[in-house]
Order: sequence, then structure tokens, then C-alpha cells
Amino acid sequence: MLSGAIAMSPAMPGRTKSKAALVFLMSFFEILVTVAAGVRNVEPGFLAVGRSFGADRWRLITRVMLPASLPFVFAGLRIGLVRGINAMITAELFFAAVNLGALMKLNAQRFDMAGLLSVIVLLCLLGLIAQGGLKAMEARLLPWHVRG
Amino acid sequence: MSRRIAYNLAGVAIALLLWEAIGRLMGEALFAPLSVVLVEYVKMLGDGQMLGELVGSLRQMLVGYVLACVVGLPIGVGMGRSRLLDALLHPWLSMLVVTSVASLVPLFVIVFGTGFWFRAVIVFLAAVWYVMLTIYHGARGIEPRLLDVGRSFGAPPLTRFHKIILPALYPYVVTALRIGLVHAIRAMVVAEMFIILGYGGLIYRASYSLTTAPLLGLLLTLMIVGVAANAALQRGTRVLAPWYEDKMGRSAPPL
Repeated sequence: MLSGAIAMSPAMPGRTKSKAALVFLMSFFEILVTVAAGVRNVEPGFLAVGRSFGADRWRLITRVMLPASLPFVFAGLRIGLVRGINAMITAELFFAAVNLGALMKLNAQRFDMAGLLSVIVLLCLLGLIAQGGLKAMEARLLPWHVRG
Repeated sequence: MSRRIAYNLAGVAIALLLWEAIGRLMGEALFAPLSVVLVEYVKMLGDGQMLGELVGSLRQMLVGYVLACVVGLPIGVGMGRSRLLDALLHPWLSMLVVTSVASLVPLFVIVFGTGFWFRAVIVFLAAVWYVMLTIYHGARGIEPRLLDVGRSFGAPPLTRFHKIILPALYPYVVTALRIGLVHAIRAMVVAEMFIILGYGGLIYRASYSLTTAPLLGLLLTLMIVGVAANAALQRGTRVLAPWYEDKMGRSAPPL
């Protein structure tokens, strides 16, 4: 995926564009796969109940399938978000040394291990907070789906 | 079934046609069309540098990957079955699994240099947390009823472990190996692009060439390797444990 974006970078000269493309590429497929698995795993019983109550195709999709696969949608969003953060830092390290990536490179060149480690810790925390935020949102929006 | 294969082929054909069209539209310098890449690809195969670097890189990746599996699987199972281990290690696991490997690369270049161990360690760190997490979810989700049956038939803990827990873990082991492999291959390329050595280095240097054909060719090989490795692992499962076929195809990798 990363190498994919290197391939795209000549096509997208703007720094932000190529970085956004990398983030997109890295999170898009994770989300796609997770949501597809969720839709496939919808309890067939739910759909049968919907059908026997005379729901048409549209209602089956919006009222049964969508709510039933929401937990997977959230899982996909979480995985995608973490991947996106990874992609962001990768892009900043490799093809446009700006922001945190540039800071890391600078610290590495100075052999400033403390500085380097602090950026890594910051990134860890960012990932954790992002995950925690989405988890909290999931708990509020999908109270019926309690995670073990 | 044959209908499905026909649709698959149609999907591939549409993607390839789109590639050709976009390539023609954007020009070789930005996004080489399929026809140009294929010609270049045959040349690269004949030249031998691409495959040589690939074999060398994969060998180093394999060391890191095998280490990740050897370390990750037992710890993951331990965490899944023991509350104490889970409480001790889980915060670290969830923190490290969200840490980008790319961010560790500059640090490890300083610590390990750019030799064999640098790449092996990066690959190890990229794969081990995913292997651990996947098998952890598997170990936690074992039906308690199965264990109860074992207990009521008086099976000692060791027998319960290898007669009940291990077989129940089997599909998760394969999933963990597959997820780990994907991350290992990615990490290999990221690490090598940073130090401009091996296959990743080849990709990096190719990105400075005037045409994007060699670059896309290198990516093509990488994709083929990933898909082939995945298929081989899946095939291995089918031979070793045919009864898990269904479960494997349907269950999503947990995170």
C-alpha cells in the first residue's frame, strides 16, 4: 500500500494530496473488508423475520441489514483510523518531511533519542485516544452491542 | 460456481482496462499503462535484479516473521486463558498494536544500523502484535462448555489443553499467521525504503525514474507475492484441517 502511494506521488504533486491518497489507500480496504464481513454475517433469522413481516428489499437493507452490521462498521472505522494514522506518519517520514515526520527525522539525525522516543510515545497516545474515542462513541450509539 | 469465476474474471478484466485507459490518459511519466508495464515487466524478469533482491528481502523478512509467530502465539494464548497475564499485558498490547512501525524505523536505524537485524526486528515488531491479538481473541472465545465436558470426564489440565484448547484454536492460528504475514511484508518494504536497500530500496530508486513502468512492475511482483503467500497458507489449512474450511472463509479477523 505504501509503495502504491509512492507510485501515485508523481501523479499528485501537492504534498497534502499524495499524503491524503496514502491515508485513503491504507484505510479504505480495511474498512471495505470489515464491513463486507459484517454484512455477510448478518443473522439469517433477522432477515427471515423481516421478510415474513412483508418488508421490501429497501426496508430489509435499511432496517435490518444496516443496524445488524453496525458493530462491524465501527470495527472497520477503528481499524481504518489506526491504519490512517500509520499512513500519515509513513507519508511524513518518506515523501514529504513535514510535521511529526520531520521532527522525527531531525531528532534521529541529532541522535536525540529522548526526542525521538517522545514522538513515538505521542503517536502511541494518539492511536490509543483515537481508538478509545471511537469505542466510547460505539458504546453510546450501539448500546445493545456490548463488547466483552 | 463457474458463474462466479466468470464474474471474477470480468472484474479483473474491467480493472485492467481501466488501468490501460487511465495510463493512456495520464501518460507514462505519471501512471504507465498496462501494455507498457507488461513489456517492462518481462524485461525486468529477464534482467534478474528484481527477483534476486526479492529473494534476499524475503529471507530476512521470514526470520522476523517466524520469530513473531514463535513469540506471539504462546503469549497470545496465555493472555487469552489467564486473567492475570491478560491484566498484566493487555494495556501494552493495545498500545503497541496502534503504534505505527514506520515511526519506529528511525529509532531502530540508530540502534541496529541497517543490517540484517534491523530489518528482522522491524518485521518482528510489525507482525508480533497482530499475531498475538488474533490468537488472544481466539483463546478467549473458546466455548466454556467444551472445557466443562473435558473437566467432567476428569481430563487433567494438560490433556484439556492439547485435546480441547489447541484444536479450538486452530482456525485462529491460521488467521493469525495470515494477518501477521501481510504486516510482515509491508514492514519489510517500509524498512527497506527507509534505508534504500533490498527490494524496498529498489522500489524507492524506481520512483525517481522518468517512467513509472518499472515502479508499477515492482508493485505487481509484491502483490503477486502477497496473494501467493496468502493462498499457500489457506491451502495448507485445507490440507491440515479440512473441517475448518467454512469457518475460515466467513469469520472476519478480529481486532
